[in-house]
Amino acid sequence: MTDPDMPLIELRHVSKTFRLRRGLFAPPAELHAVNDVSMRIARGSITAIVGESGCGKTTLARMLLGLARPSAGEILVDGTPLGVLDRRAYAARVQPVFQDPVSSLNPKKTVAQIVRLALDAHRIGTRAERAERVREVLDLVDLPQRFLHAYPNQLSGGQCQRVAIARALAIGPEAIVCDEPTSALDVSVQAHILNLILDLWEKTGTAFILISHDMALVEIMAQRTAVMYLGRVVEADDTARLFRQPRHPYTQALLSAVMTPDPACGLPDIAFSGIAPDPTDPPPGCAFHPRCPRAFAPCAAERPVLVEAGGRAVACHLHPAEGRTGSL
Amino acid sequence: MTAGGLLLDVAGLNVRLRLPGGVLHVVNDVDLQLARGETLCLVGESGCGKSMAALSLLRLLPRIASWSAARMRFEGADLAALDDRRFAALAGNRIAMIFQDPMTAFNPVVTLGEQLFEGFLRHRKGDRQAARDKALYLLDRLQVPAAERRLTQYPHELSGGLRQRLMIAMALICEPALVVADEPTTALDVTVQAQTLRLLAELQADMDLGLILVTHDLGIVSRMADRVSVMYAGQIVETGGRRSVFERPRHPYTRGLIDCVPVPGRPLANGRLGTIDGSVPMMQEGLQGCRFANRCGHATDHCRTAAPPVYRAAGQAWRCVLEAGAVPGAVPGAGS
Repeated sequence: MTDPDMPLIELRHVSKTFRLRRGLFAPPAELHAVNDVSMRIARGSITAIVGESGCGKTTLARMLLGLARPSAGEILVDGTPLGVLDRRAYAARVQPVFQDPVSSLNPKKTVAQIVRLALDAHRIGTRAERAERVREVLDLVDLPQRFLHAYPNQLSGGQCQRVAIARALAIGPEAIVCDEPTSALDVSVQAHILNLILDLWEKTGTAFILISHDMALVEIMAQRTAVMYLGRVVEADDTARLFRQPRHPYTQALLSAVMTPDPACGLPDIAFSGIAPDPTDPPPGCAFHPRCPRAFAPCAAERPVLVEAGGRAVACHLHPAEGRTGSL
Repeated sequence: MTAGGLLLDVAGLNVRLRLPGGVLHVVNDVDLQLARGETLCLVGESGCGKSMAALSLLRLLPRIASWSAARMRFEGADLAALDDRRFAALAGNRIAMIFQDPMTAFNPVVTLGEQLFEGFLRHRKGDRQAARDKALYLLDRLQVPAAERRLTQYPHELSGGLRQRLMIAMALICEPALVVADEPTTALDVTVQAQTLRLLAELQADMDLGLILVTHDLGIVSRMADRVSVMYAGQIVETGGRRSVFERPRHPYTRGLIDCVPVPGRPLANGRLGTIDGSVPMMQEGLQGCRFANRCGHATDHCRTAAPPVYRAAGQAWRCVLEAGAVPGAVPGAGS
């Protein structure tokens, strides 16, 4: 093992720009899906990335998985740039769990074949050892062995998601990137899957990167949370403190919009306009200022930088630089 | 509540799906009562029959489905007895529907304006100017920016949040008495969802609209509903006022469902969320006993063989024998 303080994965000023064709003669529009994001993922941690649709969280997940290349900046794994690493070696260390459990499994393969695939691809162990490992991870995700020869269409959504998690776990990765792992599932099934992730995290020490839009879920799962808006991280903090003292008005709005089952409350009063800006033409200054209830003069003129101090970072003119700027 | 004051009074609603493998009883003996201006939330997990129950009110069930009801009265008239032509005069006019996905519910090649006006021109026999005025009024109330321009646009040109507001306007343009909304905000972002529901609730209050809100989201239910009906495996297992259902759930399924939801600030017992083990039974004919028995921690042999009667007390009704003795005044109701 390397230096324990070195983050497992570090993002340095990572950006991803897509060029959108608008027509035969019009110049292509540039969409900055992820814009100058810096982040450290600690070994064995659960880190959450939250935001609404279009904030870039899925693009970020794809880059973390090596499925998309950053347009700028670099991703380091144990201090080694991702570009230098062998793709296959990287895939063995970081594994995905996707949102839709049914479509992310090959319908023509059995559960055993699906879970074994990574072991086969990486030529780990003998045939017998691989079969043994498959049985082992099925136990880990609480799937009965009788499902070994079942096909995905014979399983429920929750069971499919367990298979997807087992597939990710099989080669013993150091991190699992879960992109909205429960948003396609019913609440009672969601509870099972979230509990399972917590169990696996405790048992295996695997780091989890949880991409979600659900603040209530993030609070119980993650130690560290980054909030994204229109491609940028606007706030990052230890989860408990972020929920206790959210500093960015967008984080505050997200928290106020959480509708937990509480019959004593009415509908939340969201203080800002619900019309999200066009991501190909983001507002000048702070991208959130047209919707922000606390916007003032500098917000439209100048983009606030992400200021980090004492483990918390926020990009907002209401919280001007006291510390240094840098990564989270 | 007297039956005379009810906007909608449905009793013994059944929906059957004819599938190649057999008949599925997706809605069983469901009662729905709704007063003017009231919000009833039908809540449950996927496959519990909540959407089927709601769609049957508008006769929008898929072809393979059939429905029957012991009683189905709307504004005092017998809804079940209407032929298709007379029902068509009500649908979209006195009873309207808001669908989950505004992208598929709108016609993609007709302007939003035409789609909004259509119902008004058909049912209200008004002219285009009146339809336009009404549409602009509603879009203004729903805080749709640049409302005039929206009427000339096509569905794909709008964001999901705006499209859903246009859908609400389309449902309300004939000033219906009853709106059935099936997961109206599920496809929207959380901040947009809260706003959309708020705008809908404001219009509902102004128009004295009866609203049946079908959702899986207990958070929305706890904040929108006057009354709640919890569905499980095709049946309503518990119904009651919002506060009583959330603060004193009588059915183990309701309690389990509430415990599954993460709540900010509420610490988890043993660091884990509550769960409901097992899965929903296949809804074929001849299911014995309580439908929740195979997943219920309190189930006895009696539960597995004898279907529980409906108990009623203090405005709440539930299908579980556990609470029968625990609640003073709980009496089994007749039939359902």
